Amino acid sequence: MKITFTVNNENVEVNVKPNETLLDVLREKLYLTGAKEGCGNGECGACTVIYNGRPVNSCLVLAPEADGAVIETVEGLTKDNKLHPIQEAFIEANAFQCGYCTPGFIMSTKAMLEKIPNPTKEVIVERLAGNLCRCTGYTVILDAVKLAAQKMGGAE
Amino acid sequence: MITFSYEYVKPKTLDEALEILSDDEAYPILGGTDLIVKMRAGRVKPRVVVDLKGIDELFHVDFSKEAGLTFGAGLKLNVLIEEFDYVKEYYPTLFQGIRVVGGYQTRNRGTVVGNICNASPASDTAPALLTYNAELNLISKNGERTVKITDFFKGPGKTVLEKGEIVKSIHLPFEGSNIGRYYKVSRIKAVDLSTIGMALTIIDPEEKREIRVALASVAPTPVRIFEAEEFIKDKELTMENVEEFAQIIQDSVTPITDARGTAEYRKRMAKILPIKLLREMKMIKEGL
Repeated sequence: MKITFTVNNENVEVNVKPNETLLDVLREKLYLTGAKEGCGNGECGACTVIYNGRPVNSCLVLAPEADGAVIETVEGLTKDNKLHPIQEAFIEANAFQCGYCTPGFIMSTKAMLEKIPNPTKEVIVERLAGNLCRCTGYTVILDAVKLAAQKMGGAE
Repeated sequence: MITFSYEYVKPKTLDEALEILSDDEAYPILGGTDLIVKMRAGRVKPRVVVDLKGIDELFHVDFSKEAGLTFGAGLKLNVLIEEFDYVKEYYPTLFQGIRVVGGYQTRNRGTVVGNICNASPASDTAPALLTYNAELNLISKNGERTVKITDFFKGPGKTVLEKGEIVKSIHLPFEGSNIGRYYKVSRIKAVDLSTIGMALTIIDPEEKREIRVALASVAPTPVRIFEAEEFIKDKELTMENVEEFAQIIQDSVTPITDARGTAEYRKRMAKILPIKLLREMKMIKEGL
């Protein structure tokens, strides 16, 4: 079946099967491989994309459900070869080693900072609890998120 | 990718959806956070997946102090607690229960109705709904009926829902100002299923003081402990009475040992938690 949706400000039309997930479509049909499949069960957050303004696990969205949705993936962050402040912050804070979880963390962070420009540590922890990191550790990720908030104009 | 194929339909009206759902192998989908996981594991194999998100009336929310709160099956967990302030203000125990379901991403897709229809003994929203005397509006192509949440669960994964029947909306009466806690014990602090969960709601804490208590993960279904509530009614909240109240709760639950904890641990926590929560709410008259 044919679905249309917006991904990173571009309208796309794709042929999908009902048993594909949004993550499958992003990665294998649109070649947007930033979102990763970790657990495939909505536990790890590596496949996080922003879906109609809210972060969701794209492995738990059936492709046909996404018809008409507005989706942002990590690929949409870099404009004119300039990194997004959140990406810069993750680099400056050394907030990743293998990087597998990073696109998910960045998309959760972006969705949060758009609504809460200057989150407390408690809010950050709650909003990012659905993103697991298995190698870097969370301390530097928290540093990166706070740094990103500053870069984007949040207080402190 | 799900390893088998099926049909996907997104009806625009409830009538159309109920007609399709009367097929034995049709499954409704709203959030999909339980269904898709089960489909990926091959534990559920629908022939038709019926997306109910095209049906406007499932997204209706309404609150007044006279009528209480009614919300449609389509409301996402986070939408309910972030966009409708009265949920936090008038149903604080439910607010807290919703807030600890899965991770933030899961709560952006999942629904309260899905959480109870999944009928996990570990449901984080069911205990709060039990303490608020929730009523469920069920509908199938054969008609509508109302079921109390205390009568809804039949066992792990089992409810009174008949084939082709869905929960259309949930109604919570407003019984006056109340305070409450939902406390979840889990192996890790977030994104885990509960080892034990307890909802404690106190209706009109100043005067009438009606204490209600319900638990998750201590029995085949979420359970409300009426016997303990009856015991503590009209009694002073001295440490002695509170301990007896907690003892009745402990004696009433029938937990099992599983990957998340032993039966013994759950039993002990069933007694510790009510005391902890009442103390946190400053309800206990402590000696000296």
